[in-house]
Amino acid sequence: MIPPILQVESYGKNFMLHEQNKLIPSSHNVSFTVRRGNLTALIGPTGAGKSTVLKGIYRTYLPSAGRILYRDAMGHELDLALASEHQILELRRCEIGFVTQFLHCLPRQATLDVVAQPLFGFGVARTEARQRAAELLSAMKLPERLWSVSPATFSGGERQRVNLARGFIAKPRLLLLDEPTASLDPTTAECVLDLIEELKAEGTAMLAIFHHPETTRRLADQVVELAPPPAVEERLKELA
Amino acid sequence: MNKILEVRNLSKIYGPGCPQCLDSTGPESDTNLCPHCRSVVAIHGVSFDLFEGEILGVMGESGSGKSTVVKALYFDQAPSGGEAIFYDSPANAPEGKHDKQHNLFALNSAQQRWLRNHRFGMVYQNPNLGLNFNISAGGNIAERLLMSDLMDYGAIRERAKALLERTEVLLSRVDDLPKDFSGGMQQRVQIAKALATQPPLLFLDEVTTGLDLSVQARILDLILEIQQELKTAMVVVTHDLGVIRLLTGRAIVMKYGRVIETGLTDQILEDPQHAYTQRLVASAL
Ligand SMILES: Nc1ncnc2c1ncn2[C@@H]1O[C@H](COP(=O)(O)OP(=O)(O)OP(=O)(O)O)[C@@H](O)[C@H]1O
Ligand SMILES: [Mg+2]
Ligand SMILES: [Zn+2]
Repeated sequence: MIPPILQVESYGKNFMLHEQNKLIPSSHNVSFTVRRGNLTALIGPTGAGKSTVLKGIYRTYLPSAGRILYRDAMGHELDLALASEHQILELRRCEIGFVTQFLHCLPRQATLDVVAQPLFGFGVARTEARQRAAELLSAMKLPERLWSVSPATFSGGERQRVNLARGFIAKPRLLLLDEPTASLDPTTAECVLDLIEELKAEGTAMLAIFHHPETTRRLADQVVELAPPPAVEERLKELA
Repeated sequence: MNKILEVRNLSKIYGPGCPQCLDSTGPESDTNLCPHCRSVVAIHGVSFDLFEGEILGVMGESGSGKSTVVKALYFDQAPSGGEAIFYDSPANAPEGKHDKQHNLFALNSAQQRWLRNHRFGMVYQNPNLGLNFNISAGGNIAERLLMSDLMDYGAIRERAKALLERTEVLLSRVDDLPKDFSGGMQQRVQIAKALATQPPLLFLDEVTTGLDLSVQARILDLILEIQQELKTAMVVVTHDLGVIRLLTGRAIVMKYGRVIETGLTDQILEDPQHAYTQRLVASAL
């Protein structure tokens, strides 16, 4: 069997808040795999640390425990928990995409360019990159009049589609999705789900958190249920 | 990706210095002023790498030593210790004249001036430092072009115009003096001047501080556009976390002259490790 693209082993994350002298456990003992062309969904109640897992893989959070083994396009395996900052930046540029609820962009950049950005980074010609961005935005039914203005003032749903299009455009090997349809109406959400299926069929491995259980049922090849991490005192008892 | 700059243990002490300076200053001591000899340990032990086309942020409160770092690297101020190696791309180092690899603080002043004029650029918070206020905007750029390469008058003027146009300074104002420009416009002229020689390495010290938000936003846009067009590596000094988030991929956090944390920018802002960084980020929310 082909080895997984991503293998997470006993991942854990605690936040040390120095000011309050407090240790906040956020994810605890999480293990799963993600394979090429497959979607692994994370489920569990609020506080189970679902987003914390995604951010740990992307290294927005520094993992506290466990291994995050990633197999890159060349077939080399590396532990994302230990990789250098430049290695992570290179993977973010070329292989790993992350669609969050937030959009940080330049105030003056046109939506089309915001979406095409990852392709610019690859050296794809501007017109070609914008063409591809336009296709994705129309597939997601973002009104054309918005394409040439900055997404800074967009509504939540409009912004989310810009984020998604930017995440999809470079066809990353691994795509992390944090509630990608949360602010969309059912029809628009349906278009997005179609695009996710398309990308999956083309081989992208995905790790996703969905708002609706029926979306998970429809798209997930594996489902991983997370439980809220035990409080620190519990853990200390465990160790004693 | 190739390394363009390697900084190791950079330090700058103002004053006579004494054997207790280092142990009596820094984040733990909560000061950069040595109580024994009254010297200021402006920076000590600062190390980082910068890769081609990368933007590195230097953040920290006023007086933490941010400007001292870039001033030393741009040869504005000789450091008291440490090393910095600039790896120029071989295509740009004239054969026989200059090595591809430059040990910055071991160079003589002529060699340092050559790098400053040809391969580095600096944009200061205070336009008085970066611009000659006695000559026109166009003249400022021509001045830098003259220092770098010999070109005829017509070519220099054309180049200056193209640069000002790129940085969105009205061409009708090429012959005006910088003092008659708005703050945002002065920064644009400074950026045009710094870019005149297409340097692979650019230092930016609080370039948007004190400007209106909308003017700030446009300057930040311009900086990022240029970075994407020219693949210029940059060291961006700012105490503004918004600027750090928009511009930089990695960052270092300084306090009382020392680097207390380094990491990916999103990680530093969302999962800061050091107590000080946690406070800094929390207070900016
Ligand atoms: N010429 C000088 N003589 C003595 N002390 C100096 C000199 N230049 C700088 N310093 C001191 O060195 C320390 C670091 O200064 P620096 O300008 O690098 O800080 P900074 O982090 O850039 O601050 P800001 O955010 O206010 O610009 C400060 O305590 C400053 O007073
Ligand atoms: Mg300063
Ligand atoms: Zn002393």
